[in-house]
Amino acid sequence: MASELTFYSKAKQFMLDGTLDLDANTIKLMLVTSVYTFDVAHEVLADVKASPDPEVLAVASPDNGYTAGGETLVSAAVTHTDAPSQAKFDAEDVTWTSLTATFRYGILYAEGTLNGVVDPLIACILFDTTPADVTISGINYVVQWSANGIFTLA
Amino acid sequence: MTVTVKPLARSLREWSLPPDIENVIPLQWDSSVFESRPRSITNPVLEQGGQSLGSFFAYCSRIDLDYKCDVEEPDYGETALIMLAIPEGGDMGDAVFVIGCYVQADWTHISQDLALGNWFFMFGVMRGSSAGTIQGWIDNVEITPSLQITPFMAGPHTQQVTYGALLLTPEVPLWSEGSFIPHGELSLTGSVPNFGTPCADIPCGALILTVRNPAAVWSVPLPMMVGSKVIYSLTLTGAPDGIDDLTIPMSSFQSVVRSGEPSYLACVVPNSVDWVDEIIARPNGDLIIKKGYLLYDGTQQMEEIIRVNYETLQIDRGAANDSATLVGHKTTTATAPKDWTVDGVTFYGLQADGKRRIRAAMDLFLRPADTVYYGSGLTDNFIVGSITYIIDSRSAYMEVTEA
Repeated sequence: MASELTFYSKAKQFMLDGTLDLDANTIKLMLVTSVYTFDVAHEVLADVKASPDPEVLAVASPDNGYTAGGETLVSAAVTHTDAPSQAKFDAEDVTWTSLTATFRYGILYAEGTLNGVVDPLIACILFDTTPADVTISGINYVVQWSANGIFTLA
Repeated sequence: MTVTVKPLARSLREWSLPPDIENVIPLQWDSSVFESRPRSITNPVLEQGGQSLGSFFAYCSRIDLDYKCDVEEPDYGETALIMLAIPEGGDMGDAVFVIGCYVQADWTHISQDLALGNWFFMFGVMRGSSAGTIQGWIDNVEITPSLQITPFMAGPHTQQVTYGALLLTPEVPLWSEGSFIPHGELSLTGSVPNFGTPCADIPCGALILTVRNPAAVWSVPLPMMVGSKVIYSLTLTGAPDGIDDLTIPMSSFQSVVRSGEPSYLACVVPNSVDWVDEIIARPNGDLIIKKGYLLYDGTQQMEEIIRVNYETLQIDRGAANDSATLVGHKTTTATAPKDWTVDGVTFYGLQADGKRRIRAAMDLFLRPADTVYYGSGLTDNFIVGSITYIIDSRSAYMEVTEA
């Protein structure tokens, strides 16, 4: 199935005005259900989690493998090259182990109050562009970033 | 100071000074000062440098009045009592000076003949900045004839001159300064700012933000693989025809999947007689092949590997066999190329056209445009151009060809 990553409009401002410091902030990927309606104008996580909260519910017993707020991107880093002249944001792939969940989107956001903005949004991933839900039953689920990074600025 | 204005004659009408004239005290029109001369005008006591002005309109051909002016310490250069008359439509150049004096201790009568018409009369008393006090009086004002009066604008005129969004308003000069800008002599010319060649392109490097779509993959933990089975499914979607999707059993399928070029799928369905009506009812559906696992607990985890537009149905019936072959094509473009390693490589070689080709075990997630890793140490790799799937009851493998 094909996936699609779309930037929230405000994220571009957040990157330019210093609200986002991608290799210093805690960047997380949250799974949300089709209850969420993607809107490129959404700015902060509260816009996504407006009632009814679409985030996949974290269940402790039996553990469904999901933690509220999503998974943190490990080794998130911004690097650059001169040829080609570009900066790249990348991180290790995100893995949920023994996940049991049905979801449609991944929400990439920065956790915390940054430059006065609470949990600014970065991008939204539609995992199946059909579009359709993804249903996972107790197996490992991996979001594998492109070999060219999550995004580049060239 | 509060000034009470009392019209003293039917032919006189007080006319207020423009409100934006600064530092000028209006004259007092007062009949209480000189009871014997009820039509009189006086001025307030002035500070040094102070000025007092007043005016009225009259339709007349003559004015008679009495006046006197006291200056304690005469300063003839700056301290004076004046009265002038301006005809309707005229300006300061047309003014007739009825009075202009510095010291006149006794009441003095003066007559001034005027052209019949509306006249604007202005009185002024000025006290110099270095001189002593001054008092001025005007009394026994007689207007000939006494008719209906229509006020009119006298003195400097203003005109708004527009040039595009530029709005210019000439400033009204102070009466006390005696300056005068004749109407029509103020010329304003707007200038178009010049910042260089209009509409010139300013070359600059484009700053482009490029997102990379991630790939979503899954894997079954090893303990859960125990007792699991690999399964395939064929679905003919019904949504375009307003009905439910149809899952059809199949005995085999072959497919070639490409990016940017038509992909092909042919599926063989046994016992076509059981399914043909349902298939015909979905002429606009998609054919979808999924591969996955039936786990020990009965749950299934499936992944779509091929999707094409259903196009043709061919039914083959013999004495012992009955099957239907469903065929479709679809062109899709990869949007999330990734690096991917394949297992079970049994063959790799080089085609006549120089492109590499490998045969490997069926893989759930390899897609055209991915970079496939294979071989010893998994260091060999190429970008996938096409994937051919061959699945039947005896074998299941894929051949991957370099782009």
